[in-house]
Amino acid sequence: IRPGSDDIQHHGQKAGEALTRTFLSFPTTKTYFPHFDLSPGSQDVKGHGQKVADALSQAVANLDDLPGTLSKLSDLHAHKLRVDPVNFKLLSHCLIVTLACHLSKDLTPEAHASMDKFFASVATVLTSKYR
Amino acid sequence: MVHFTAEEKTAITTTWAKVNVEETGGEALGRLLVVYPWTQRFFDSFGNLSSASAILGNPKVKAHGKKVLTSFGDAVKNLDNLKATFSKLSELHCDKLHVDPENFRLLGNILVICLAEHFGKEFTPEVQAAWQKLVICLTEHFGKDFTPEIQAAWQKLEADVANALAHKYL
Repeated sequence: IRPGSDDIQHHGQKAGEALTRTFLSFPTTKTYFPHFDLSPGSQDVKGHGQKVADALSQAVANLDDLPGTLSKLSDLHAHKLRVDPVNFKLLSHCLIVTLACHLSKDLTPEAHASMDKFFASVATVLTSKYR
Repeated sequence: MVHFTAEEKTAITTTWAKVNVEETGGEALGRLLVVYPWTQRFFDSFGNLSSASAILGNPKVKAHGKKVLTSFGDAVKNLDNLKATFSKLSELHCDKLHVDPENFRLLGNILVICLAEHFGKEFTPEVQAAWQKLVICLTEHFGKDFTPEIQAAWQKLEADVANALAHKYL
């Protein structure tokens, strides 16, 4: 997971791209952002991409304590945002597609499996307080 | 019946023309078996699947991957008629192979990731969206034969078998 996450500067950009891909491929996800300008390259999407990237970077730095590290975000998603769990899979998929576009052969099957497992673990923690 | 716009068809067919079906098929199936190891349940006869390198080097995986992706090629040529094109294969996967339709979704997404890897920046969000539409469509077509009625019949059969097996315990 860590080598795939080394390019810190561009994390925000990649997360923004992943969000754009998610909105385009899975339009139902847009329902959570009625207050956003969702046109590609919008400041809203860029800003949100940076937020998502920062949270994921923190998670990467604390792989052994995801529940502790993501506790506040977990509360936020459970009590305020209430994003249906199915959507985390959609964003995770698009994050991996984005990585695949940028890393090409460097996203080996093993690295792909690790990232998939990582995103699934993050999603589990973020939805852990839903009920 | 899902309708593909002219732009979506162009995105799909242009990408497809550059795909090496043999190589990408093996890669996609291999990745499915590595990233989601529980999918190996359908391939007991394939021999050594004990590690990522074993899976990716396995000749049966490569051959089957090529077969699967060749079928995808039929989808690309028949975007306006996926239902008829896949009617027989859908029956096969439902009635004979008993594959949970969720697996088609997983394979579809793995294929999208393989395409992203090969095409890099060319695999724009718009191109991806056209492919997602195709894989979602195929997943629905392959899954549709597993109707609630067929499922109910299987549930009943499974319950009857379980009861028969438990019968001698009492």
